[in-house]
Amino acid sequence: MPANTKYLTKSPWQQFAKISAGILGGYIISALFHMVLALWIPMHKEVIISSIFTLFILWCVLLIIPYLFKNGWKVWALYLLISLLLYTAYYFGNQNNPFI
Amino acid sequence: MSKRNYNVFFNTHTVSGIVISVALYIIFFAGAFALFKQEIQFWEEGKSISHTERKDINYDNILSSLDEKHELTGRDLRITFEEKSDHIFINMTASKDTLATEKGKTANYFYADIKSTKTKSYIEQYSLGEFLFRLHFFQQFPVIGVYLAGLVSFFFLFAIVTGVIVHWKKIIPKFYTFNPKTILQKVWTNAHTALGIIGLPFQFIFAVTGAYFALSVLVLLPANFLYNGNQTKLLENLRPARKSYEWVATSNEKIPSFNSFVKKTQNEWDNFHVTKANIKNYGGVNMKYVITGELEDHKRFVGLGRIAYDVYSNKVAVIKDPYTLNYNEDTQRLLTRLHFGDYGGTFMKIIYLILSLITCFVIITGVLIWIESRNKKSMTLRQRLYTAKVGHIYLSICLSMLPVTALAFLFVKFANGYFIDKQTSIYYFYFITWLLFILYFRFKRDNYYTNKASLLLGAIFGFLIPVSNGVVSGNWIWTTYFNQQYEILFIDLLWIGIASFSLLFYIKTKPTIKNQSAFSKAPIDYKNLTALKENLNNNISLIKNTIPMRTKISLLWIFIAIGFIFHHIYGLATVFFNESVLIEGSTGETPFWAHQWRILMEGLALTFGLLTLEVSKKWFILTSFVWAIILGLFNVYHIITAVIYEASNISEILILLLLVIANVFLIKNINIWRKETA
Repeated sequence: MPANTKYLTKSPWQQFAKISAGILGGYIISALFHMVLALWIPMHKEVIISSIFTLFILWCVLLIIPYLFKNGWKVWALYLLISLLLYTAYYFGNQNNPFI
Repeated sequence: MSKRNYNVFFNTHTVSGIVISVALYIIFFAGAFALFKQEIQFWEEGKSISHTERKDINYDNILSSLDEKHELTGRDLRITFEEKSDHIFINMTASKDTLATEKGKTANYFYADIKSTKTKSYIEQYSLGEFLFRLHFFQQFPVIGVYLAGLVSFFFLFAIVTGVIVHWKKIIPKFYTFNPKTILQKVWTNAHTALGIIGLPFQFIFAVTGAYFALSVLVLLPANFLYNGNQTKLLENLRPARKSYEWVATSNEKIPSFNSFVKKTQNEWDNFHVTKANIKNYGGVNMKYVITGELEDHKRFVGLGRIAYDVYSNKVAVIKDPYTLNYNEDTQRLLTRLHFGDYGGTFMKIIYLILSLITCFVIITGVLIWIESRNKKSMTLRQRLYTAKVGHIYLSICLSMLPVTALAFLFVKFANGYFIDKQTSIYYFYFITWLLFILYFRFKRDNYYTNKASLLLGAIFGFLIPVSNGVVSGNWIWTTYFNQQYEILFIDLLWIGIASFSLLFYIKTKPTIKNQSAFSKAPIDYKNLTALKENLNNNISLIKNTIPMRTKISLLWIFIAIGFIFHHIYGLATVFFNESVLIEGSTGETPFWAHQWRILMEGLALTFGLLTLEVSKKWFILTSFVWAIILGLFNVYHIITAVIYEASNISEILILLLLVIANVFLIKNINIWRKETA
């Protein structure tokens, strides 16, 4: 009983959009999220150490989410927006970076 | 869950699972044996192990003999004591002292015997255990192997999570309806789900920790940003035991005994055992001994302790109490323990082994479900041939690992001592035998047979393993039992266990099972394959309005040849503008390397272009295909180097880019040609 193809994305561009959003976008968000967390909450080193496993778990979740959407490019837009927000938070958090 | 989401997730689970299945099987199968890496090495060498307590080893003796041979002054040493073995593993950096001789300036790593102090290089000490351990993260593939394993691990995590999402509602019913008497696909589906769920927590741990080990670079990358690129500081925080100190000068004092420091550290806490040591700046004024150990398993799950001593002043520089947890240091140890199962002794490792082999079974059933459900009569022949082919290849790779691994155990037993470079001999033996098995099973095209033959051969070779140990090394199971060489005994017993199970499965697998397969219900007639394929090809309508394929291929070859000539002219362009015409050292004669490159590049491309017009034999198509791929790789490499080294030469880069594009078209077209004539 293979999955019913009538529900599946057939366009290769859409497939590409979803996979790339999940792998690339997902990684960027996971990485930025942990960087922001490490900068903003008091337990700086603990966050980095935890990221050795939480990074992969979060990344996996972000790899699954695109498949809930019909349009893969919308996921890309959403992921870019989140990355941008996280980057802003990183930028301001980095002003008083506790690691350097 | 909506119908759409169910189907979408089902598909992602299937696709990700199938893509990683073979690699994942290899990882789990080799990983199961890698749990007993050390025991395998003891078994192979066949010598008794003294079970010397780590604190009673005479390290000073070893260090002084090393100092004679390798001049330790100015080096950093990392020493791993290993659990039970009669070796210690030593990794030394090059000397930081500017006055060090040539001998002191090479980094080294090797094993030293704790009694004779004799050293053995890595490849001399190589064992099948090490091989299987490395195979389980594809280290035999240079550079990218470990990242590949990391990605497989990560997609395994993805497959686990989507698998749980898909099966969530049916997990409990499937558990109870697991009945091997129903049709085959259903048996596998239920076994896949039921066993997948039993092993789930274990598999989840493996996927996450595996990703951590192999893809740690992806964690270090964001951390590196936070540390503003200061890697020394980052690593110092992550691995405090390896912190390095600046070299100041050689000390004139006699180096204090390392042994006493090890004993002192061991006695510092109850139930504490030293495991590792770092010696920093050997012989320097600020020389340090950093001695690490752990609490016994029954005391604490993670109990890392460490003392760093200022050697000459005999003062404690840093101390980490094993009884108080430090999140930053102990988290990493936690992941390692979970991954390697090195807690709770052999019992825990056996549980890990069983769970690994169950995972192998879950992977195989997944592949089998995939093949079965895509082999209905309603599918087109092309689809069915493809599925069947993938199935044959996958199963022959996976299932033949059992007899090949068993054979490799026999090989190392009989070959022990014959090869100086044990690494190469194991590589050749394992990979060539494996390849032969794969080819034989793949062209036999019978999954039932592959399974039966692998189980039977696995059982036969498996039972021979303890026998070979008795014959070659005199380590019969009763001898090792009475001599308390339990590590060696364990490997024999392990193989007796594996062989017994293989034999049991071999006997239990009856031909009736084969009849239930979709293949038996609607068989593919491989003997008349050519007739079937002709039938297929006749159905392909001729597409008008195109350049005939061979003309196209010929044109592309010639385009590439001309492209190379243009490239040379552009390369010479600097001559017109600023360079002196005479190249330094030129004698007026064309050197051989120039001919070589011209013939390989332009010459061969033109040859293929010409021959394509006349020859259409199978060997020719295959040769062109292979050369087109090699040329393609070269062209890609060429454009990358051009962008790096000559970014300003735009016209040259353009022609190189066109060459790459032409090459892609060329490979594509030859591939179509190859398929149509096959």
